[in-house]
Amino acid sequence: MAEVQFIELNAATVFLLVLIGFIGGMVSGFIGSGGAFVLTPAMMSLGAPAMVAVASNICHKFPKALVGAVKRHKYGQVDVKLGVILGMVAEAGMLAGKHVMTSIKQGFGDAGTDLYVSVVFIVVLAIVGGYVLRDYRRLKRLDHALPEAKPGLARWIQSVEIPGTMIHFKAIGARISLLFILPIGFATGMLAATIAVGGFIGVPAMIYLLGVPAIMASATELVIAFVMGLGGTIFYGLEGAVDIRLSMLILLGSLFGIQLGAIGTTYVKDYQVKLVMAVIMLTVLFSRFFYIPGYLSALGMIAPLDHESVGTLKTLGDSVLAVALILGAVTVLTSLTRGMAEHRKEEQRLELEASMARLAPIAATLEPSARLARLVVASDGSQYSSGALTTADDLARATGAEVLVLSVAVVNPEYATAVPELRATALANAETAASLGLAALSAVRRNRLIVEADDPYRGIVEAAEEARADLIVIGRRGKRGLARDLIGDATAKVIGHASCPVLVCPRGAHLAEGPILAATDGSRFGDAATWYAAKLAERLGRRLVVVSAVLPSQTEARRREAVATIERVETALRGGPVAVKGVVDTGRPEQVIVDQARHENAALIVIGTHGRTGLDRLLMGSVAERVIGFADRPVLAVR
Amino acid sequence: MTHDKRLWSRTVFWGVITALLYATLFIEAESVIRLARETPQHPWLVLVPIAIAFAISFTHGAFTGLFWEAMGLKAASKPKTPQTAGQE
Repeated sequence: MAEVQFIELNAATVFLLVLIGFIGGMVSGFIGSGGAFVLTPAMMSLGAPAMVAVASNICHKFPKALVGAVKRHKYGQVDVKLGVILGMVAEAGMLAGKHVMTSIKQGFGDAGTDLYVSVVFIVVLAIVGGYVLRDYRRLKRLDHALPEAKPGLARWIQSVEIPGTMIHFKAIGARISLLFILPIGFATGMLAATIAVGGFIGVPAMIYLLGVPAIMASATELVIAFVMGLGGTIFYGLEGAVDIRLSMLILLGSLFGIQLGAIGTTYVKDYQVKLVMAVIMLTVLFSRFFYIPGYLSALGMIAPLDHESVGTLKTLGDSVLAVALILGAVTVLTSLTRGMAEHRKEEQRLELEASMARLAPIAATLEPSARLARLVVASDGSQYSSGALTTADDLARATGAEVLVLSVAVVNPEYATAVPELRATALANAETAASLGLAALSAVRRNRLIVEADDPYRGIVEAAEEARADLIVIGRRGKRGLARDLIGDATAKVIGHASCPVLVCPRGAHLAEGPILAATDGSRFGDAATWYAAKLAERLGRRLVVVSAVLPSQTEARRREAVATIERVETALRGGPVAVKGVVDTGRPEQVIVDQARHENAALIVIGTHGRTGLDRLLMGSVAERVIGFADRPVLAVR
Repeated sequence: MTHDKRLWSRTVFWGVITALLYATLFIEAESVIRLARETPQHPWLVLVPIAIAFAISFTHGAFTGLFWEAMGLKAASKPKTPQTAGQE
């Protein structure tokens, strides 16, 4: 077999590869997965043989897919079984696709594979680009994406029962015959091996043929992309076709670009994204036509063209490709800058309005950190939010605070733009969760709030900040035995990043009749918690119990210090409106605090946290984390 | 301010590691190409590009995420106008 040719790298090609990676990544982040339709031809234009271009492209993508898949698995969006089965079948498809490529290369040389890849590109881009253009016109008329009912074809496929081949998938919520899965996986793999974009078939097929919800389809595609990308890299690597230098140069630019593109989508309308997608696809398609005569002539399939004509045609093709890339880049950057400027203006206007509206109540109660005028309670519609809703409602009725029921639509801009239904589904789910939450409340002033974010915790923290919430009320996951698992990753991150106190409620929690319990270790975090607890006790007309714990292994000096701390608190609050009781006990701090709260039947526990330290693990301090994880009543984390 | 400083120092940390990995890759470019050419004879060499891809994706991914955050670029959060309970 002919040896694979690697291109020479000089300063200019390195710069161009990074630039192409950046623009390709930006386009990919903007219009959804599939930047490869820009990257593969661009690498070919720089002189990389088709096989090296495809191989190096696949190699730069699979670790990115893994990172994405792990992230979205946390949100429960990935059907691992479906992803792995499709991925394995796709692997077979890739093998077949690669076999076709290798055979063509053996028979006709690089010009043969170049021609084959170009033709597949033209066919696929014509079909997909045309479809996207049609979708754009439909969306523009509607000006928004509507969630679609389960496609008829999917309903039919789910109804077919072929004994011995049926497998249950959680993403579909039904059993489907393996015989329908196999061709989808095979086609995905074959296309990926040929043009490095398998998702063009995989995602739409999962949605329209299998009836997988769009959000899960795009997440599951990441598993397929990883399995397939790893396999593809091995297959092509064994042929010596992976040029890791090219892969990594493309990656260098692409990682910058993909995030920029994804951010850009949040500032534009869906149909604008579709238009950019269609225009770029069709321009790339057009550029391929200029190369084909050269390939055909090299293969002797047409009368030989002289060198000069092939060169001129190639330059023309390159120019068209460059125009497509520049067009994409300019569109993304202008929509990003314009969108950000408009967004900033709008934010300033809202801020001004909000501050005007809120001036009066603030003047009445000038207590910046113990103010309870507005609570934001996070509702995801699950059983875990129920305690948070009840407690927030109790607290609001007791203090007259306004409650905002917040639901976060988790939307990944990168995929949501490719499949508009993703966003619509996420929004519809969030609206349902918010409405259910709102219906569970009886507080006088209650509203709902729906925000979009790529991560639930970020949505909660930012929405609370924008709404100027005085307190975030959130549920607690109750799973396995570890404290972190008891709290849940999102809740832990909200505590770590929120700028206001966070009240964490276990399932079924409510605001009991008992006192407010403050835990202190004598540090300034403990002081902050105690002060907040005292203000809350005053507002709710409750007693205050202040607890400090000493470990059995600690010295007598530490014990005296704890007693002194409690005395200091009692002295500070003596004569005030709140009755204070101090307790020093020996044991593990979390155990002492939780036991004391149970003993006093405390309404809630107030505890200080360390605030942000950069690492999620250390975001709040281990005692606070364990108290929140183990307590059978609401715990308020104060910074 | 301290938060910004920490963000920048983390950005620089991952940036330096990524730059070192890239520098090593290109200083050793000839060896890497030779290994790629020898892979058909020694199949286990296929692990080399895979390991490189994983390592650089990880560090560079961490770096770019922090970089845009440090540059102050973030996605538009689109809170819908709150609806009052009465409108429900």
